[in-house]
Amino acid sequence: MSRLLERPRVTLAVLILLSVSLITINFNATRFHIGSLKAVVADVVNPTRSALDTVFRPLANAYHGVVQYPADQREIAQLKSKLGVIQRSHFENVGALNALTQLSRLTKLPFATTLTSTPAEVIQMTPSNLQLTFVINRGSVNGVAVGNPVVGDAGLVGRVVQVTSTTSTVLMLTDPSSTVGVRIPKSGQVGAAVGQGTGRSLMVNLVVPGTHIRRGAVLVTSGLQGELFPPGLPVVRVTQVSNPSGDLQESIRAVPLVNYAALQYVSVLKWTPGAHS
Amino acid sequence: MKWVRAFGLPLLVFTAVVVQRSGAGDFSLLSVHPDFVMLMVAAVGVYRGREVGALTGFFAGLVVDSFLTTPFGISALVLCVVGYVAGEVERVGSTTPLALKILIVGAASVLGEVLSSLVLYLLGVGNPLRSQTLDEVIIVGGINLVLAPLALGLCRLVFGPQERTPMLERR
Repeated sequence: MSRLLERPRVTLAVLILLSVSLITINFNATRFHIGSLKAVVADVVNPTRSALDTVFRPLANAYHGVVQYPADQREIAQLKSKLGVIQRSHFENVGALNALTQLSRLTKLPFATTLTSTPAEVIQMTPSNLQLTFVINRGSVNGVAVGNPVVGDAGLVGRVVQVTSTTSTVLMLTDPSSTVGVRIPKSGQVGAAVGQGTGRSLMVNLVVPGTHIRRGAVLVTSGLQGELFPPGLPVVRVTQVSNPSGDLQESIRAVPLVNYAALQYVSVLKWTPGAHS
Repeated sequence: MKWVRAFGLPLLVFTAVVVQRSGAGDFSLLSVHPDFVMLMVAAVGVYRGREVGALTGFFAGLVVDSFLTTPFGISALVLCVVGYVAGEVERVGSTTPLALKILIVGAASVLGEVLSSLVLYLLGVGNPLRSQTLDEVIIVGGINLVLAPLALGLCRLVFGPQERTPMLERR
């Protein structure tokens, strides 16, 4: 009996009892303020720990560098792969958002409210030196016909020059063979915007000298009899106006309102030259 | 050296806790961290016997518990048992070979890890059957086995050389 109750065993029993009591008390921590006791201990230990950290941290880092290197490399590769997926998804979302924005703008074009239209997607740009065109995914089965004007959310893009059953080719305004009759809204003067090729401003010809026109003005289609486009479609923005002495017309340069490089969706207007005259 | 003897035990525990909480505790093998406090408690138990081992383990455990979010008292419970079990070597006496002392430190550490998992399981905090448990038991036991001579050397520095009288003769 005395052996059973020897001092170390009794001490152990008391300590176990104390520990179990503490664990039990812990489940009622709010009443016994265990948290504040923990905070006091942490306040005592933490300053010394910080000092030792500065000594041990480089050693720990070196150890990690040696032992964990292959695992870290694997993890980096996995994270890079995940990042790639996320970036792809992000770009897809951004692309989808842009497409949605363009499409939603095309559904409520303020300058073509009276004309019926067909939305189309640009499926191919034709980077040719001979002709500046692009292909859309709508053709004769969709009611598209040669001569139909094509507009973007900002204004006129071009006109349909070739139609197959499922696709159509659109001639851009910047093509040297493209001429659009335009009107200067304030003065009512008319002219002709002629394409000059890729990356070059259009020339607006046939504007009589002395016509009041300022830079930034938006010219719209004139819609005169026999014209290729209906009236009132925004075409170009004037960038340069000059009147060299002795010339018989104003020298006007202008840029298309649409950005061909970012063109993704367009709208084909069901309007045929001559049919409405 | 008088002050070292006087404050030696608290100093040892404090040092172990600080080292554990510092960058040294960040060393890991297969994501298992060493347990310097358990090492020190086991070494004190081996060096000073069951009672001192159990008391040291209890108070060291209270300090360790202060840093953990697990229920307060778990480390105290586990470490007092570890200190006590390691102190069982006193039955053999102070003439115990160093190799046996080292082995006992390692074995007590293994017991401590198993006991920790068991207590956490009983309290519904952990699962002793998770794959990490076996790694913890083996790695902590192994590291403490390797570091046992150092810990026992520190104990010798703090407590002085053990008496050469076997326990059974003392009683």
